[in-house]
Amino acid sequence: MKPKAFRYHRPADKADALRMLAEEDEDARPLAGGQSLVPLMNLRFAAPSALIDLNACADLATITVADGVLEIGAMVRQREAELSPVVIEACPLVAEALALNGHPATRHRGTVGGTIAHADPVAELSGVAVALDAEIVIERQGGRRTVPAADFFLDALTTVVEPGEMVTAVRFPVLAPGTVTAFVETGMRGHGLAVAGIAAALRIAGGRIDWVRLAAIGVSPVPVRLAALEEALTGRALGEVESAIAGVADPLGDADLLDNLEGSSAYRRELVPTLVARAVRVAVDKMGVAA
Amino acid sequence: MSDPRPVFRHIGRPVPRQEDDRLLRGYGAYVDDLPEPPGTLYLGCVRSPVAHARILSIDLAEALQMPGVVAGYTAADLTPSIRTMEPDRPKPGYKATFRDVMPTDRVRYVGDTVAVLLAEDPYLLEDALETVFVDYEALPVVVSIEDAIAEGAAAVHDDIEGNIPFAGEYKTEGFDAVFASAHLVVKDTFRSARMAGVSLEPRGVMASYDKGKGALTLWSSTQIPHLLQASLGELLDMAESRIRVVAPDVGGGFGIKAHVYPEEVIAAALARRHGGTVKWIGDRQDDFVTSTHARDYRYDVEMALAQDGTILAVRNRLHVNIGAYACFPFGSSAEAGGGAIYLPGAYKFAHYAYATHSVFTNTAPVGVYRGVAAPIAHFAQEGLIDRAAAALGIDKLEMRRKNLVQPEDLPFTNAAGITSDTQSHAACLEQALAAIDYDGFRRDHPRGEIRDGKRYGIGIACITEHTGQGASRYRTRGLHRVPGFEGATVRMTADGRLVAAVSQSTQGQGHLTVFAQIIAEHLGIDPSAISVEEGDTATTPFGSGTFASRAAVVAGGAVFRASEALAAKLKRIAGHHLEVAPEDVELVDGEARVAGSDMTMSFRELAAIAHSLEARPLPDGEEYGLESRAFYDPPNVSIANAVHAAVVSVDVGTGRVAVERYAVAHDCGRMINPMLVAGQVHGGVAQGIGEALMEAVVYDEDGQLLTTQLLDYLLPSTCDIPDITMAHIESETDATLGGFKGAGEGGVIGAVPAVAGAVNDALGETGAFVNQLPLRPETILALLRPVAD
Repeated sequence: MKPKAFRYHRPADKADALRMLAEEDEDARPLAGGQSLVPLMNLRFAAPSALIDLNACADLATITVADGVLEIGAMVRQREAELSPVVIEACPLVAEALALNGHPATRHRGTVGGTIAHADPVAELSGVAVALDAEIVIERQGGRRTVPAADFFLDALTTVVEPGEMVTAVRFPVLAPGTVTAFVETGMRGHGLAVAGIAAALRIAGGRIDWVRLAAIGVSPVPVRLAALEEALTGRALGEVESAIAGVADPLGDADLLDNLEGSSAYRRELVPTLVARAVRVAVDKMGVAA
Repeated sequence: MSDPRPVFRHIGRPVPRQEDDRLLRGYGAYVDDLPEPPGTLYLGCVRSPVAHARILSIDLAEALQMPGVVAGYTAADLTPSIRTMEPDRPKPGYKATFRDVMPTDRVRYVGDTVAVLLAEDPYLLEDALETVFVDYEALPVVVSIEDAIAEGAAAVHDDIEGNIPFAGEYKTEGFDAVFASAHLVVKDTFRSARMAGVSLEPRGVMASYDKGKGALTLWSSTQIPHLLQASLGELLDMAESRIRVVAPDVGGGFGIKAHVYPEEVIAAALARRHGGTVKWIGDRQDDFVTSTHARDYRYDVEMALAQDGTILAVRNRLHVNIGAYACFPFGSSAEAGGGAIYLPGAYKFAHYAYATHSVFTNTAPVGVYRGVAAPIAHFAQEGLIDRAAAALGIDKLEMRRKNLVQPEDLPFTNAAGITSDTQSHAACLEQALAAIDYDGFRRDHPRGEIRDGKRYGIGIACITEHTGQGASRYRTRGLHRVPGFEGATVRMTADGRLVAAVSQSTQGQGHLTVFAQIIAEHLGIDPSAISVEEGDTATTPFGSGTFASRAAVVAGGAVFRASEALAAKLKRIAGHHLEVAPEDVELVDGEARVAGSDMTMSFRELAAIAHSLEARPLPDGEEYGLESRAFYDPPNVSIANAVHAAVVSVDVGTGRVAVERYAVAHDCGRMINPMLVAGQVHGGVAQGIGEALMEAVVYDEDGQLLTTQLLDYLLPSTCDIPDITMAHIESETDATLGGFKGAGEGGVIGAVPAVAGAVNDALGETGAFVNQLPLRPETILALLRPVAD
């Protein structure tokens, strides 16, 4: 468990980092919290030619709310975002998802941009991004693009980020007043990697579900937006939630399902409706508190 | 033993561990922390990526050109200078087994070492290892027990027909008639997962050769320094007097480090060849691939019962997948032999038959691991009692009460021929039931109830633990390469302080503390003032090592005996100068005191006399010096016992099992330190919960290991372990010095059947019973489905 030799750069700010990325070869990688990349390097599953260490880039570590968008800089620590009153106010699902991501120790190093860019199939925040139609900000020297989360994840550990580019921020929508959210997951352990998890946000009007967003993590190489379930639940009374979910024959559609030591694809298929029902119930239960 | 029982002052107290201060402050020194002599070379191993293949060629040319690389050796270069390991010498019922530390002809599992490199830097070493090219010709692979014993299966070793190096059979007289006459026979096939020991510190070794003295010093993260020394002498054809083995601080072992490994032998051979220091530090991946695995059993068990629930007879057909090689020193039969004799356990049925087999496969060698075969033996036994109770309509507790060995049965020889003078199953059962509030649970959770999406169940396991096995026991088991006895030296230095050297090595158990307590008991001095040393063959007496719950019993006995002799000498010297009989002298608070008077001599004075450092002479006939050495070999085996009680929840939507509450009533004879006994039980229960619910080493059908990191091999975290309530019972055995029994493994032995039993209970009216570990959520969900639908 010794990494291959690599070049190391420590830029002072974003512009510096983008310049170094541009100057390095295409196997260079930005280093954020290092909670996944460094173990992968030690295992030699990853062997970047150079690391551009973003940890000194204060301008990548800001949280702002403007024009209905919560923008979290790539280098904001997961723990900071999880506990941030601004994040909790604007988009509590982000904080709820991060609370399940790794452990407090890893969240103190791990970053919001890092978990999104790493694109692990079980990363909770990726599910939130897909559920809420977040946008991923990707920059290169002299260029910037924003990509909808639905288009960002290509495969396990693979995204649309090109050599020379890096994720600089994630833009989540500020949730409308009255929105309730929940992130539920299950795994082999009481607290650990999930086999499957559900990000849910919804609003109730007149006793019926008025608006709902759902995505699943862990079941597929990339987060899966559960559009059929959203459609089935919209307009339903709270008492009809279970039957509405049961009425959707194949909530995962043609998604490519994971099948591994933690569980078969059949098991994951079975978990999704169960966890969606739980997520809706947990979210709805919060209305009492909010009201 | 002498009666009445003495009142103890130091034995039995929860003395804080003297080990903790330096370890918690970061002053521990594990193998990788030791200073490296100048010129230390790093050893890297080229591992086979295939499970079974002929080695056609090995090309080290490119690697030898890489920066930092000093030398490289193929098996053909090195193996001729190292003797073949012989874990099993031929004897009736046991086939001889062999292992070259580097195989020359063919590889037998993913991880077999075919070549090694020496480099000046561990990073450059890994770069160079990637360039070694080995050409293999694939051979047929056998992975599972069923693969290996099938008709026409490929042979892992050409000289072992049917891949079975050890088979044993046993049947009580009259078994068949009793079995045939039974009212009911329940049976099932019980399978464990294959497990990994996963100590916090992986294995590591550093070997230094002094060319001038022709002497080798080897520091290893080992549980068996003396056996490793003997083994190195044998394999390298060196005098043991020229070999010193040191186990420095060792970060956990659990049995995995109680084996001699190829890397230890290769590092020593290369240190000798290069006349310097060679170091190999295993990482987590090395550990999963090359450290011994554990368990991997198939138990086919049948239980015959009378209509009233009395167990009449048990038939046990056992197969153990021992991987590609037998391990030194336990050989091929430790698991298969253990699994056969552990099964009667706490129950007094009279008839037992077993047929047990060790099976070679193309997987990593399987060795001893905390609990050995006992957790699964009890998983099978308690599982069958649950099935029988359901079939007969008898309460599960009633079934157990009816069949447990009772106080009036003692001393008791069980159906496997194991005798013990003390057991306390019935008392432990009642205490465990009280601690878990069994009746309250039954009141609060009506059968079949689903509360908040969960079913709840309660499981009870009555277990025995075979501890403190001595030389005679290992001979009976055919483990001729395990000595069985232990030794200790207790010495008073010339300044009147106490030091001891014990033949054991510690991996965190608290040996130094408990041995100091035993010495303190005899010498009348605070345990914290006693220095105990272990793990260095140059300074400690010969012994077997730390495994099989034996340190407190066997080494404890040696310490007990050496302390007794030293105390007697001090009393003789003091009595001489105080002009009283030695038996009128007491050793208290660091001085010798005439009972009932104020006449005293300090230990400092006595030590000065004994070391001829003052005018007063020794009594006539007394030798100079204050050093006492003793060896202790206990009679056969001491049976400790416990009852574990677990409450679990089963999520009916996901199948996930969580252990909600846990209680243990535990009896390991006289406790030396109840706090450390509790620590042993707590840690064991945590490992047992891992074994029951999540831990599994997995190979695919080609023999590729799929679990090579902690991401894939799941260990329980603190979130998975509930608080554990403990009750202690102390049934003091007269069979061992001090009345001690071992306590190292009972935690894991009890947790596996208790958790499985609780899941059976939660499955309730579904009629399903678990028979395969780990209890993965997916498996449990499938068992629940008939009800859910």
